[in-house]
Amino acid sequence: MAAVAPGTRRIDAAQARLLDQVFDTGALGALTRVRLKVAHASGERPGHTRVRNRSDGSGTEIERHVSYTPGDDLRRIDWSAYARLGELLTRRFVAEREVPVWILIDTSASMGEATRASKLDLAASVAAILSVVSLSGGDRLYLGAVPGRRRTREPLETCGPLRGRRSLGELRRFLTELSPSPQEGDFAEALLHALRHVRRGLVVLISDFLVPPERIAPALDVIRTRGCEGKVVQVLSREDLDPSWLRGQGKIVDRETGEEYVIEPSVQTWKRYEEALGAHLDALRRDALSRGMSSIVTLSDVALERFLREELPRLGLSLVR
Amino acid sequence: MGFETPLWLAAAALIAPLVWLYLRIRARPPATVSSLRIWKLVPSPATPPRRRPKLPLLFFIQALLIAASALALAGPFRREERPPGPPRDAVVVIDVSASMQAKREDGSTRFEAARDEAIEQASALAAPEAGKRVTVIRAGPQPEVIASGLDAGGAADNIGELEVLDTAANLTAAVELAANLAGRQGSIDVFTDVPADEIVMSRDARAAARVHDFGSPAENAAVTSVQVQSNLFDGEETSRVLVSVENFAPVARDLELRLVPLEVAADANAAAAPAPNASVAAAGVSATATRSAAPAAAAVATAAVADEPIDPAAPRTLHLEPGESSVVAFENVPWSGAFEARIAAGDDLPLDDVLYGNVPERAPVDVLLVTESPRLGERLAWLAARAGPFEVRTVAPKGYRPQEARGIAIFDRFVPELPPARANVAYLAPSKGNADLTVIEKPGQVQVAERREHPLLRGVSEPKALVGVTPIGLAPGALRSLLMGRSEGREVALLQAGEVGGRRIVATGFRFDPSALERADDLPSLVFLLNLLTYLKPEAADAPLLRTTGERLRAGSRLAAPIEELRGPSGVTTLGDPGADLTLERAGVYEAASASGTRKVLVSFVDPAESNVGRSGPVSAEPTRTVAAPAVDAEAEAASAGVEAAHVSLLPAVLFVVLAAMLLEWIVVASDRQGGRRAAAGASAGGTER
Repeated sequence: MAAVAPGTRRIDAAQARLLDQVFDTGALGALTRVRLKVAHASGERPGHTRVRNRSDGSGTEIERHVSYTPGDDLRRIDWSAYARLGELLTRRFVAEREVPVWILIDTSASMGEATRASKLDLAASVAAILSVVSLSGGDRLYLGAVPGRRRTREPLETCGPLRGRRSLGELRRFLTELSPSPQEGDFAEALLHALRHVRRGLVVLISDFLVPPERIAPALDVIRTRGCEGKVVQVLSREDLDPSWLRGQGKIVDRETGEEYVIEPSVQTWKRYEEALGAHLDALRRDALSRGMSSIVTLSDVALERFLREELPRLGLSLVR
Repeated sequence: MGFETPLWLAAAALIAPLVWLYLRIRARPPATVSSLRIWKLVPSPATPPRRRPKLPLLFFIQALLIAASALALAGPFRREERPPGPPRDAVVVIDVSASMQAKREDGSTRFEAARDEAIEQASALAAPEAGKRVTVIRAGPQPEVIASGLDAGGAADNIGELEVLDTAANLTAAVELAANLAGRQGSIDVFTDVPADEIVMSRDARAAARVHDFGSPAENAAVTSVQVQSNLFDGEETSRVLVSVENFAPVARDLELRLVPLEVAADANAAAAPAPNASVAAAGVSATATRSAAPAAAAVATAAVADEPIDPAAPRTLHLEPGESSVVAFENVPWSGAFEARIAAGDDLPLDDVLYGNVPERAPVDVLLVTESPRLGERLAWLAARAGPFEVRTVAPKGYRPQEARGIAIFDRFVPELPPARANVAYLAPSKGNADLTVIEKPGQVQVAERREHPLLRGVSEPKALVGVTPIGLAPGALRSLLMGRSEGREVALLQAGEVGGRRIVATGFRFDPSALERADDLPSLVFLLNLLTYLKPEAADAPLLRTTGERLRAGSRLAAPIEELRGPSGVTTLGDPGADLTLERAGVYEAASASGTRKVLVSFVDPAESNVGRSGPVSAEPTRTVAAPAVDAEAEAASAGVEAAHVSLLPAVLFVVLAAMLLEWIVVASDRQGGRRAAAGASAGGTER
């Protein structure tokens, strides 16, 4: 297992390959023809991916009629209704706003190098897919790396708002420059910080979520209370799932904290680990479901095509042609 | 337990690197994981596992695999004691070849000494304390088991009844037969005059055999061949006899050589004491041609000049250096009939001092020529009358009767359906085939390509003159092709000859032009016809048969009535069935009785290898030398103790362990991998459910 030098910029071949697959001309063309289906969206065609907001005087869709009071805009009097009812009524419209899409990517050290594909690689690729689809649908896109890189000294590094396909270059650059944080960071704390900027819209969290579920739960609560639709994408490496590669190892080290831990390399230990991991995943999934959020677990070495075909629909983000 | 190749056990040392590999793996630096969050839910061992090295199950399986493989390569076996079976065989092989007749210094023969010692040895082997049964093998031309499972008395009786033969012995076959009979635990005692290192035998036989060598210094000279030459164009008193004599002694010898008609010899032998195993019966008529030895140095001594009448009884004195051979020519032998060539050597092996021969009588030979050309008959009769006692009769093909062919039948461009039963036959330019020959086709223009040496072509310098322009092609068959031609790239036989069923057959692809036989310059045709008559000239019905010892004599032949009874040095033998035969083991003069009368069978001993009795004689005066078999091992001791120790191979069991270990290793590795996959799949499936 190759170690990553802390703080170095990392654009390795695997990440470039995955991102290249997303930004490949053919794949990009296919992605721009699909749309994100958001639960509270009013339509699926371009320009219809709006979310309902409080009523105001502008808009295209009539919400209700109210009696005319002096001072109202005469242009909103419904003369047809006056002709039928003999009463002056003014039209109130449903205010429509663009869907702000927030994609927050865990860039903590635990997302870094694994013996096979990096979890961050897949996280960046998933973010790229969702971003391309979102931009193609005319949405306002925010990308966030949690925690941010050292030079920003911020727990969140953002990119956006991005609009339209002309933002693809900036999007690609941001994703390409993503790298695991070289320093010990608190993802749960950084996530809470990041969510302070979030208002209504779609929030997608991409992380390995190898933190206690009770520390993630406040962040999920914030997403719900802000009236956002939340999606949880948990990316795990095959080494996270199958500990048998540690056969013969008596000691393991946390990549993020550097803490050592002694294990008994035996089949019983593998079994216990698998049980603990299963319980962890169940807890996270329950937390998400209880807050009306969908969640998926995907492997870092999953083929991108398979992710699009099988994993993404499970997330509730249907690709509509 | 033992091992066939114990050095392979060193391969088990490969376990050491395996241990090192496993320990090295366990000592490697800590592995980095994404997070300890989940791991901390798994209880940590009280003590670091590195302090308590614990090799996994896979290591022990692989170590077992290595150890079992090394064991298998070493060829494990175990000794298994079995209940005592029947007593082991001790095989006694006694050489009864002619060389065993050689006299020793004490006057006895080698065979007598060997027989006495064999009896003594067999008695010791069959003693109750040895617990063995004795098998006696007579090493003659073919090995023969005289008796087996004998006790001391039986062995002595059977060995005492053995007699030496006048033949060579196949000692190798006898020893191999003994090795087969003796088995792994048996013993073989060989009593012979051949040194142990000159006996060709297998490794197993050599390991078990003890050779008792009775070779001794000996002096011997032998008559090694007799050849009679009769010229067709001369009278019968002009026969020439060539006798070869060889000195096998290590010193120069002066010998007397006599050429004695058998009647005279019989009278002389009757007066003198008969030589052992070479008694001479009544005089008769015989013809002989024996094998000639390859002389180391040959010298022809003319014993008489042409004009001087020969005295057959007059001895010829020869002086032969060690290893030298000499050919003595007796010119103008005035008599015909059987004779013996005898040397007065006074050596250690009298058997080879005499050889039989015969000057053939000039009995008239009937020649039946079947041809459409009377002129050819005339010319052949004219030629045959000058060649010898031939009486030529000419008949046309239509007048041919098979029973008329008695001596020689010559068919000119005519082929009878059935070949003559008793006559020697010549087919000149046959138009078709029959049981004797096959005609393939007329090959057209033929060029003579190859000729082979044969009496028929002796003196024929230009075979092309014989063939002519339109020959007949003969197909290969029982006859030997003597003259080969080439036509359009193919080879065809133009002249074939051979002996089938006791009849001599000649077939020519060409015919003879009568006019050519009138020209004195057509020498090839004249010479060939003379050779043809000579080759086809049958032996007289009562002419003696000439054989050498060791040959097989068949009772029946197509030219004579089958032999019913044979009387001679071996006693009286009744053959009865025409297909029966017997091996001539004694030299001497036999009398064969058949329905048509009696005829002599002259059996000579000719074998230079046997005559060379001094070949194995040790320089020392030690009478016998024994080359002992290897020391008896523990198994043999166990066998002598009445317990049989057998090697039971454990290789199949060890190989089974190897395979089982391989299977177990595969199961362990596969289960580890499957456990990991199952966990991954379960986590993935569970995590994606909404």
